[in-house]
Amino acid sequence: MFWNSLTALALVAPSHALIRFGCSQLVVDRLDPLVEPGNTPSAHLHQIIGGNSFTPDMRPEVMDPAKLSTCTTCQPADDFSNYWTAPVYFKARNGTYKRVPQKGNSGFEGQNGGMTVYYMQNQLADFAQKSKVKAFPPVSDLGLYGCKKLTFQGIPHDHWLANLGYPC
Amino acid sequence: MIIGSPTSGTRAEADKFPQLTYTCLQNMGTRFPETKDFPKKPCPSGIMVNLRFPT
Repeated sequence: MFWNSLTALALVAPSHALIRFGCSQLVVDRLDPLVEPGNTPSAHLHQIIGGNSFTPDMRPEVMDPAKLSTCTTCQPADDFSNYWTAPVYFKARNGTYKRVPQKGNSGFEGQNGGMTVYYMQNQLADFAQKSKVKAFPPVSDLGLYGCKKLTFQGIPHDHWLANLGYPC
Repeated sequence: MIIGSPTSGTRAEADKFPQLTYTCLQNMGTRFPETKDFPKKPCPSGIMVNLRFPT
């Protein structure tokens, strides 16, 4: 009963906050489950961070990282999202390439490469952070593929984008 | 959710992704300016890449 009350309160209480955290490198590999699901290798190399269930094919009908991950390289132990970006290479005069090292942001010097992740209701400089947000829907509803045809809870894609801010 | 395109090779194409910018770090506290171009001069503390959703 106590927990039910607490949960209900948490759901209705207005929240004006942003969260900022560091994530170390999980793996650097030629994989891109979003653009090229299942392709090994993908066309581009990526530094990947986040949950340990990361795998070449992460289509919603195949797997759900929120259910399958057991740990993460991100500071919040329950953030099982994965995030990835292309690394940068330096081209030397002799034509060879060397990967440019990646490092943590100020305040996150202890992490191995990685990124700083922000979740914000409004832009960083807006201290009020008043815009309403909703939690991400299950990945099967989010539909990261075929975005142009997408609807979410019956809302057409364009409207869904403007109101909820889950772009593809 | 995806930002940017590896095939963007011109300013016009890059401008389709205003949420992908670079900051040339003079020190680890540098936050401005953000540029669409990759820095052309050495950045003493590195190059910060800024990616924002929604696009």
